Amino acid sequence: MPAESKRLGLDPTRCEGVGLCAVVAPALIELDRWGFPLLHNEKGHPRRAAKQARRAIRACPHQALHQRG
Amino acid sequence: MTSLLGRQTALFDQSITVPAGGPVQVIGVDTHAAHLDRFGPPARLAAAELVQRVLDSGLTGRGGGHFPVAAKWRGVSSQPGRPVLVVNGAESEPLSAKDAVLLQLRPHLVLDGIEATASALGATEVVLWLHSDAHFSQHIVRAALADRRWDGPPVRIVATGQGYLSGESSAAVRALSGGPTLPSYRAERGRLSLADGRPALVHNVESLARIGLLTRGIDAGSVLVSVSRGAARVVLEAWPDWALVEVLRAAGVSVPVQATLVGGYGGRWLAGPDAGSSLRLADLPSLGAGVLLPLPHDECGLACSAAIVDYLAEASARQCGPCRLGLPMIAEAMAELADFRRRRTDAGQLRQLLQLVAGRGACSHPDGVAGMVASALDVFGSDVDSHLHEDRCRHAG
Repeated sequence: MPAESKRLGLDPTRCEGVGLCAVVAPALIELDRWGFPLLHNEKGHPRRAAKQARRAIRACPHQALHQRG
Repeated sequence: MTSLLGRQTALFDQSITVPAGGPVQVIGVDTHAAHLDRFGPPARLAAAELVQRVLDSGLTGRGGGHFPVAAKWRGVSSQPGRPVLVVNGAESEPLSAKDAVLLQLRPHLVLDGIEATASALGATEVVLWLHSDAHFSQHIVRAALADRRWDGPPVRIVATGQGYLSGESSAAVRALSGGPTLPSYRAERGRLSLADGRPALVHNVESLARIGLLTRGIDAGSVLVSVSRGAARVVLEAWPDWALVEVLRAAGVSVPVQATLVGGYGGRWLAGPDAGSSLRLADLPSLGAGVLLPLPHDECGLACSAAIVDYLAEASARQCGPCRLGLPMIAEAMAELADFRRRRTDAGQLRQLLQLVAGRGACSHPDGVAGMVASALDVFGSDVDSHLHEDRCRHAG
């Protein structure tokens, strides 16, 4: 099952572990030991989360992230 | 037909034994006339009638996922366009032989299921997806088609390489769409389409054989399993209420065993006392495509698991980072554990690694590895201790 959170879905076949998503969406995305994203559900601040989710989707050079929900 | 334990069988009246490796070749005489003698003629059912029978039987797919067939048909029917029926005979679990045996001994039953399914769902084309080295299966299917009147859509046989993932549904569809034979990411599970937009309905060979039985009003309720026994695979028809130990015994395995790997290489280990007593097939969490690997008492479960993970790491499609990078690390850790090279208790770190790969690929390959290794650490826990703290294995000496 591809990794996903309430807001974000990830196509792991597109992801190259660049990591820009984690930079722009620290409340939602953490990088694992290999530099690949772990998607979390945000705790509080839904407006901040929505903004960060949009930024992460735009930031990915491989268009690996998409909106969910 | 009655099985060894006196149950009325539907598919095979006795077990079939084939060598452990290589393409299966079993000789049977299933002319169309003999087939009709054995099973009677199929009823020509309206689509709604066949769908009802499938729904009433609760038939689930036999490729490993156990997804309800009726639900799969509902999904395909809701997609625009007339579907292509992909008959998945690319049986890629090395220890599995049930699909090859079924295709070679009961080709007409499989063809009946294909014909009925294609008709009910308006399929315009049938693709038989087989490994390129399955020459005998290909020959048998061609002969069977020539031996009967075929009212279904045109059938073409498409051969694929022997990789472990070549039988994965989305990999087959991707290859048929002109892409590589590798799993695809699907934001919406279960919806597969070809490049031209036509929906793809992928069915396992055994699923189609059972649909063929349903056209005759036969709701068998049985499962086909492949039991490893020494340098052989034993295919037999079993029932969900059979105890696992009964299945092993029916396959000629000497019980009790130390443990059993249930569900193929990406399945789950079950400790000996459970495998030896009352746990029924229906209770097993991971029966998958019915692959059973019993482990004798004089073999090391950790060594066996390490060899399997090594194979699975090599088989990765390498499309997804956590799988591509994580599986070789898991394989290395297991090899060290099996070879007594680990001197510190790293089982905890290994478990964390398993959590880091599970669920993070486009397909369930890393999930299978994580689950199998976790179950090995549980079932062979005392061996983990003896491997870490001593220089010997209690089993393999």
